[in-house]
Amino acid sequence: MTESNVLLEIKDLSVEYLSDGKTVHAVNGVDLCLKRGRTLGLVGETGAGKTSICRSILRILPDVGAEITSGEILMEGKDLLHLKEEEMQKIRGKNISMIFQDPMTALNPVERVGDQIAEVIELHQEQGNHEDAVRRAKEMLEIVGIPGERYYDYPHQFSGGMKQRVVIAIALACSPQLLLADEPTTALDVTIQAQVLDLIEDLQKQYETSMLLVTHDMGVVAQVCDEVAVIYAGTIVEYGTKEQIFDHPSHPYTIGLFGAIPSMSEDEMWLHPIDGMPPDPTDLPAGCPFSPRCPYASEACRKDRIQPAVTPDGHMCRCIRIEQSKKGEH
Amino acid sequence: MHKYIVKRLLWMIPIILGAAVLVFTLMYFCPGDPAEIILGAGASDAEMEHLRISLGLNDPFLIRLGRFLKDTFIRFDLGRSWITNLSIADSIAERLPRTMLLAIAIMLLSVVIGIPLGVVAATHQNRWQDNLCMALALLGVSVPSFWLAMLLVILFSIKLNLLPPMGIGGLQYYILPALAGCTGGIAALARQTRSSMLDVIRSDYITTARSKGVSEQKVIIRHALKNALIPIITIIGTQFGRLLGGTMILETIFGIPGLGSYIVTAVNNRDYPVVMIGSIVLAAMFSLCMLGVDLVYAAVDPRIKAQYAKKR
Repeated sequence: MTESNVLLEIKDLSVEYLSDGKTVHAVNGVDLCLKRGRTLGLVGETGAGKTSICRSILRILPDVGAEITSGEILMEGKDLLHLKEEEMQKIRGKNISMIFQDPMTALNPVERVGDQIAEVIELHQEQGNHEDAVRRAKEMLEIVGIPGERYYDYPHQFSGGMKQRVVIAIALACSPQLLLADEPTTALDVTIQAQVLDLIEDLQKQYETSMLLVTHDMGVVAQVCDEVAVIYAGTIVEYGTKEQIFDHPSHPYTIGLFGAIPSMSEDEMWLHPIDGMPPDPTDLPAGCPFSPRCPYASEACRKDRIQPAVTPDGHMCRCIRIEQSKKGEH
Repeated sequence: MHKYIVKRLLWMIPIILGAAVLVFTLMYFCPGDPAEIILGAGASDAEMEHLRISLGLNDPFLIRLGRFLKDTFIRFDLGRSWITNLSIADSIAERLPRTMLLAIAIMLLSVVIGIPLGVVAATHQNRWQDNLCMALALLGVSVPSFWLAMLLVILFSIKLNLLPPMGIGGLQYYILPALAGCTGGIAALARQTRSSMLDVIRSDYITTARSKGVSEQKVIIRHALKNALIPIITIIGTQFGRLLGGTMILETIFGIPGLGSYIVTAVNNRDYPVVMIGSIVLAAMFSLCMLGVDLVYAAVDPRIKAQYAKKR
């Protein structure tokens, strides 16, 4: 892995929110690495800090109470967290763009959808005028499968799936190097989900865009991702290629996630959920955050923060059992 | 859209008729003998009885109501004042523009000052800018306009000799009354703008706009304020409608013979025809205001426009 191959590198990122006088530890020392043209899946439950990571990359965390307390976000070696706001505005929408979870609320209800696409084009085009931006916006509509003449319609005249297509058109209008897709299909029904995923994949290949795909759907991960990071309570607990994660899930949480997917081949009566609830983010356990729910948890798990163990081929797992089994091999 | 406007205009007919019947009935039950009011306490019984018959005051309620409605809405004869014997239609035509001018000036000042205050407060929520703007708004609702009016007259007319203290004439005569009258509107608009901006700023589409690289100023004005406008427009509309009948304190202090002071004087003198016609004119103006508000809604929000078009 050469340095130039890496598009985005996140080092030791921590994000905190202040809410009712309590500190919510949303992201706790996350390291991620995304290579050019690849797709990294970020998998975890609601509240695990996935969206906070995406928003930190674009620096669009809510301005009241949210704070990036430590870490670096390097895009081609440049730390985004130290850029001036004006420089960041040039990167947003052009180099990095984002697809949001809920298409029903992601579009401005009082602006024509076409104008919303043209706005991002006009902001970032090096030459050309408003008419060029409008022409390009109509092209983008056609590319995502919406007739160009619907440029002049408003969001309320579109269905959910079509709105998400518009959001995708906005995100890809300037051919960004990095696409942050924050649960792009969660709010859509299953048939539309498949269409939208196919569309994102096609366009991603066409524009050679790297993607950080946030999801809690293992099926989506299997379809789209190259690498997978499993996040639990703001910590990456397991990281590896799709094959490593799917064939050899190592962390008890990852194993539990796969266990929770109903099997189609066997005649099962019950689902197998992971017992318990995610920890309170204002009061995280001192040791492994998963230890209160983990069937293998020991005293050592609860005491200290677990250090990651990495296999020679890059499969990372943050679990004391892996470390011990490795020691046992020596 | 045109059909919607025509429909709304037609709807004004029953509203105004209803207002007329209501006002007439209230006046009918008011104590006091009109003949005595017109002739004064010294008139003889015979004179008063003669006047009652000639004005038709002895007729039953329904007949009098019918005659009033016919005169007003079919013959367009608004009658004359009992006290001054001047034509009510002429008096209103003369006074309404002054009140309108004052109301428009007050509204313009309220909008130009109040909305930016609210935007600043919302974008700096819980910081000193927010506290300052909201303190100003509190001051705005608390300051009595008659007191502020007198202070303004002392400063600008007597000490600095810049503006006329009272009377009518050029536009400069309306500056002090508008300044004195705008504080409440500024406060209401600042508060409403702040709260609806706070709702909108947290919306997903504002995050979308930021993620496109739109500058913060443009995010606030083009994306947030435009979506926050609906409740703000409602406030502007109702405030304006209220101002048309409610500027009588300012009109009295600054000696502006407007509609407000006309109607209040008429109430004090029991000049019932003026009270009735004045109230009906105010009702009509208010419903026109509300129609204006609804049309501005449609211009601002395509979803509302689509609803209007669907309903027709």
